[in-house]
Amino acid sequence: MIRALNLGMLALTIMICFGLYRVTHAAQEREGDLKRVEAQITEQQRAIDVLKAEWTHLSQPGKVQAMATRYLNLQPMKATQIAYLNEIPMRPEGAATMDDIAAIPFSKQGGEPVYDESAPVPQAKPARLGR
Amino acid sequence: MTDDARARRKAEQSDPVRGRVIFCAAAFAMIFGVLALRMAQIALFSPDSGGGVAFVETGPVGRPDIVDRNGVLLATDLQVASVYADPRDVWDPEETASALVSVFPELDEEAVLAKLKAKTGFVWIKRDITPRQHAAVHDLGLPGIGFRQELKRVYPNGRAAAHVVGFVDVDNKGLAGIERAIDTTLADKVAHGEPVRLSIDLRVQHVVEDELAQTIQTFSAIGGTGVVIDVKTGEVIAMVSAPDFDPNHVNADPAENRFNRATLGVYEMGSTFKSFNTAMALDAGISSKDYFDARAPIRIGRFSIRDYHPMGRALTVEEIFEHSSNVGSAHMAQKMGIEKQRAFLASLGQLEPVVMELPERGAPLSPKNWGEVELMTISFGHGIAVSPMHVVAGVTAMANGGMYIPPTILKRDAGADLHAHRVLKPETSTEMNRLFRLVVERGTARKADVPGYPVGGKTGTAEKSKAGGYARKALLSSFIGVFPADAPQYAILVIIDEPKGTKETAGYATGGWTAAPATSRIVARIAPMLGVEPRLGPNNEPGIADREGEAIQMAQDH
Repeated sequence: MIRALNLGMLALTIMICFGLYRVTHAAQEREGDLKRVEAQITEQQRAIDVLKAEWTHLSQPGKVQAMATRYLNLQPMKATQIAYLNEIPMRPEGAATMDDIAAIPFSKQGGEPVYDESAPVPQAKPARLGR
Repeated sequence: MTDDARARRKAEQSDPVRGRVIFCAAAFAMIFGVLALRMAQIALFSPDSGGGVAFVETGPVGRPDIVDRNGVLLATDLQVASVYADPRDVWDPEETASALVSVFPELDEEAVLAKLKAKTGFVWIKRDITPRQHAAVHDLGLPGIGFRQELKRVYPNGRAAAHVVGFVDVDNKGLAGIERAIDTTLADKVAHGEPVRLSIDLRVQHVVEDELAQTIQTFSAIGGTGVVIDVKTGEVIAMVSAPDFDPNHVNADPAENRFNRATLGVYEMGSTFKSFNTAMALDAGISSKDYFDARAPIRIGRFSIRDYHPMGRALTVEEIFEHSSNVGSAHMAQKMGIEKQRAFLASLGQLEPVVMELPERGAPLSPKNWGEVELMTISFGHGIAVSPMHVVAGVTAMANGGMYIPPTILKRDAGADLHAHRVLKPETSTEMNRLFRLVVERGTARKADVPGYPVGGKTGTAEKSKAGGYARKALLSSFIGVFPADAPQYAILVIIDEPKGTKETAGYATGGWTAAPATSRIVARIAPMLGVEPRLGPNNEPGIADREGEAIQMAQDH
């Protein structure tokens, strides 16, 4: 009986040793992974820092203003261009509802929408920006 | 059988060897049990030696980022490589030196050679190299030459707010502005990894810089200052000192450009100081309808106080302010007395350096012998020199209901302690705001107004003191404004240093012709950014505009 117990213990010891070895090995591998990932994070973090600095540098108000005056037909907003919500008139009685609008056919033939030629067209946007 | 068993048990109990074996086995079992438990505990619960899982090593410890109130980056650390040499490991100094100079043509070969022959173990060859130079030097494969990763301070917004942000030396030590404060007075307030958040709004800062630069150019001035402050919190929204410098290349601009005119420079401010004189009188119970003599110039000793546009009659306090009468102001001050004036200016912080985070704070120049002459000249802003920030902080108290708030360059959280103290009665502040508006509506500052964002304020035109007298042609033209005039949220100060009159201004270079229109353009641009509600009602109050004229105007524009 003692002999069987000893044999059993020996087998268990070998198994534990092997198991322990595998766990240690796996842990080391994970640790290596972790270090790699951390190094990657650091590197990415640095890249993000550089990009942030570059973005800030490129989007400086002075640069945006120079671009805007060169390429856009925009002007500083005047106070008189700001309106209150209650200045917008209420919908008059008998005005078209959303259903009425939805019922308007886009084209008599279907397909191409019909444009009102007399309507003002937005000013042309620049073909390209920057150099 | 039972006898046999009983006999064996008896033998066991009596066998001393067997007892010891069992004792030892039990002891070992216990010890191993403890070890096993401890191992399990370490394996399962203990954190690893690298600290928490989220902990990431970010290289050398750097400086905190500096951001504006909206989080826009003003200063940050970027990693760059630097080349160093260990002269003991260098094989052939001559060859090494010529190879290095081939990569860095700006280096002096003799100097490099001297460094390589030095009897030390470490010399810098070149700090802050580009990735391309890094690769080139690396490819040379020179023994004794190495690289070190260093953090370099970068200011992505360049000149914007340069005087506020400051700059660092090559070893990343703060030399000026908030950068210096971070290393000194703010050192224990800066949380690790957290950016330093300024009260500056970069958009507003840019507008002030832009308009100030244009005004300086238009009037061929030598410099200027612009400050915008939130009168409710004392937060400085913009602070400009022109000419400025690029903190990325500090030595590229003349050293005097680094001088912060807004906080370090002290000037005799001229008529803008009449705001304080008037507020003092009103707070002492004088009504703005009370009359003071302004008929003739005052002669006292070798001085004579006169008005630019003499009215030749007695003026009310209101008229004195509106027409900027020196004589009237002097008489008002005389009624108040020297002690009262000194105490009032002290409570407004005008006699000590401004309390704020920037290290560059100029000490006011106030008279040592504060006599009758000083009493009168100080009433209209001569004989005392303060920094523009002093004036802004003082006017903040005029506009916000009478509380002096020490200005700050750092963002204040809502509900933060402002360290404010009362200097005026709330009624005096209301009256001052009315007078400020009068000056713009019909006084010297009509060009400061903005449709929809009514401005109130006071112009100032001081002759700069030059060696033993005042220079007639060297002016310091200023405008201190508050907006919106009916319930001020912001105060703004614009100073133009030595403007020269132009054809368009008929030769005038006074505050009303230079600083006031600049203020108008600044307010028109920044008021919408700052979320100021437009005053479109018939009496310049928030309300619905009469848009008929506007619609016609817009139709004509197109």
